[in-house]
Amino acid sequence: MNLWLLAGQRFLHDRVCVASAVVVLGFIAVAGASAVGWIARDWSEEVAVSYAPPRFAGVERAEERAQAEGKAVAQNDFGIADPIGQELAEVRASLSERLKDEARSASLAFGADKWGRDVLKKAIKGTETSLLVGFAAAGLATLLGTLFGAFAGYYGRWVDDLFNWLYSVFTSIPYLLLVLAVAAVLGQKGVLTVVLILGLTGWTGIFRLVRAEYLKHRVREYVLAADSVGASDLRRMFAHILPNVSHVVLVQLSLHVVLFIKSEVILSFLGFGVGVDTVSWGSMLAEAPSELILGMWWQIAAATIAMALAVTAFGLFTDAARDALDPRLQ
Amino acid sequence: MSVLSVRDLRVDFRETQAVRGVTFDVAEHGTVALVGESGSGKSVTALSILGLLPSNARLSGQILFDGKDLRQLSSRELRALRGAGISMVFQEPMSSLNPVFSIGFQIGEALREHLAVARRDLRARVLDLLSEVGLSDPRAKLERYPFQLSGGEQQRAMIAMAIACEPKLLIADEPTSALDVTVQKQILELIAELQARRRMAMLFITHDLALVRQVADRVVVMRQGEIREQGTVRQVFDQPRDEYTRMLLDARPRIDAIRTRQRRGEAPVMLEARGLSKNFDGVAAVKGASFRLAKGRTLGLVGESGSGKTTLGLMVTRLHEPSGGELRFHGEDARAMPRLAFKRRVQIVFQNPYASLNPRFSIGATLTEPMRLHGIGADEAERRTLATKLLAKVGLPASALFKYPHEFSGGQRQRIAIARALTLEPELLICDEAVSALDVSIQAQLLNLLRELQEETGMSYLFISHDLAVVKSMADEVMVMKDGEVVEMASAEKIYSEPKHPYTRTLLASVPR
Repeated sequence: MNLWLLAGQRFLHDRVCVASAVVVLGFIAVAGASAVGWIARDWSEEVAVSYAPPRFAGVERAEERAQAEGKAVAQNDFGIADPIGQELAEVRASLSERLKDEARSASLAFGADKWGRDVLKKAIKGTETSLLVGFAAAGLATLLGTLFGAFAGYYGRWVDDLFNWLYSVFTSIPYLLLVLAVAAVLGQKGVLTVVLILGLTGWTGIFRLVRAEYLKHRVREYVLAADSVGASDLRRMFAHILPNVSHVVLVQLSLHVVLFIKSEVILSFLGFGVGVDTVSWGSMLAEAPSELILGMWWQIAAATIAMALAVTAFGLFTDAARDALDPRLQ
Repeated sequence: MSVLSVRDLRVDFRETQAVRGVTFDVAEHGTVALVGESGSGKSVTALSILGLLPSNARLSGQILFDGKDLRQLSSRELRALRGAGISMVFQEPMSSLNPVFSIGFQIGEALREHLAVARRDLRARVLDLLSEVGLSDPRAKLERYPFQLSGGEQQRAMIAMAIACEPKLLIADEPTSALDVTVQKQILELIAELQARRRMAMLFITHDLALVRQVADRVVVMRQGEIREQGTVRQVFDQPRDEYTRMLLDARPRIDAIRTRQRRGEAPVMLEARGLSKNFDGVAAVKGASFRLAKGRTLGLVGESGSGKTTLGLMVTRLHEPSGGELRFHGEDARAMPRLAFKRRVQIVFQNPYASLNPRFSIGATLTEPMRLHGIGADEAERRTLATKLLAKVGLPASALFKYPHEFSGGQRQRIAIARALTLEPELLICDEAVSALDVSIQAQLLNLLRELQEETGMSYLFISHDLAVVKSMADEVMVMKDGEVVEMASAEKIYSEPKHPYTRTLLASVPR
């Protein structure tokens, strides 16, 4: 039986693996549905009052706020007879009625942000952005790391020296500084920029591991045997060795998805992340400090819970995948 | 009075029964050899005596040492017994010694642990032990680390550690299998000498029947966890009662066997090497080898580890580029021939069938790849048909095509490796220790297969091996290498009957008979 099938069997035997895989798949499904526009398409619409609290925190608070606003307006009396006071009062009353109605009717399950946008929808849209960044950046970093590592490890000599020099340059600059420098060079904000920043700076760890694996495998007998039947260098590198080191690559890919989801949060928090026209877990967290002072905790809670769940599930999934794919167990 | 009695020992690992009801005794001062092929349960038996089995093993039966059941002892009592009462020498000295401590420290540790020898006496005691196991210049060796010693020296250090606390029973698990034949002889002599001097009993575990005759007085033959036969060496060797024992005795290629395979007459020269040499970073691995190989004949290449025989084989296949010298193939300069065309005519089979097949490739993919690379067969279907035919030729069913290497045994994998080499219908096949990693019965089958294939196709072989007996059964001509040099080359009859070079004589004298 194929070794991949064996690994799959081992994976399915472990309950934690399956549970984490289900959660990960759930996140991917949500992100996918959001990307094609089935859900959370209208995340940017104003659907509630500013900072409408989550429903389970109580509609009463929304009413209180609405009333408080109405009162504040009513007390605005300079003691001068107002010819249109009667009408104004009526308008105000109806306005506050409407506000009250609106607050009640549009009170949201997970509350609203400053502009009255649904936090749940923001979190869903944020999932799409964060996962997209995580997967695309990890894909790019893994691709670069694997390619560089394969060439460096397989050919050795000056090719190895060249890539090691590149590796040293990248790792000798403090990570955040490097990221900010690339961000500054790329200039514009956006998802693609974040992916490029993370991908172009994040390949080093993967490179080192893949290079070590190639160093080890290039002298193995099966590679010599492939050489002896006439397989070219590229064929030996990618048709013969790559499947045998793919467990390392896959585990690194999965690990870096988690890493880059977290990195995106930091970047967005620092203001180098996605633009204002979109939302990610990071940009949600970036809005949180000013809200927390006012006691509006629901946005940071939503982003944190979503991120913690995704990262934990992915971490467990990675561990399980590492165990399942480990060739020593085969 | 027996030192060790094993009674109806059974060991299970999950579903597999590794040992199924084994009963034998080791008499005081006596030596019992536990013989079997891989998977026979001989090593598991030895490890269970010392309580060194992994935790997923389930044990039943009795192991009596000096009348005490070892299975009743607490782990603390057992630890005290290991080393002091029973000690063990393992197959791989390099991996049994701790690489970060000096030899002297490691032997001293055993003494401190079991005999509470005072620190100031330690050095003298260790020195005594090192000279007793015949290490030259023991004072200097004391400070050495395992990697600074040769395989033989490492094994001597291991033996010194094992006898440090004067055990009553020494368990030697394949103590010489990883060593060269000349070193093997020295170590065996040392063990025999120590055993006589220290009056130890010994349980000697081996796959090599030839060694048994040299060291043991009783033999226990095991197969698949069961004892097939036991008795004195004389009984078992001269009048084997069991069919399996008889098969083992017959399968073993013997150095004193008469060569049945003699081919007369001249054959045209196919391959000629003149002063072929190879340097690795200034270290000469092969120093100018010259030889000729005739069409349809077999040239045996014999040497110990580090002699450069594998490097020479790889140069002939052009997997290593030579640093100097000339290689002519049918009179043409082989190094000037196009790589792909040359590879089609010269193929190689490697030693380790577990490493030489790509674990991620199905057997079908492994066999069709060379054909695809060389444009043999019009399409995939035709290549598969060819692959199926080749599998039949090496004795494997067509269903193997869809399986993966890990589903086959070592012998079957080596057959697959041979089939892969045959896909290109080469004129020369290099067999680099091609049967050395296999059990004797499997070895015999593969040697037969190789002979049949040669008869059928008229291929030439360059047969590289450390095993003189195997080479004798295969080769027309034999070349002996030592430290990168070819020291002697002659026809097989001559080299075995009247060796000229002193090294060849030492080699021949070291082979267990």
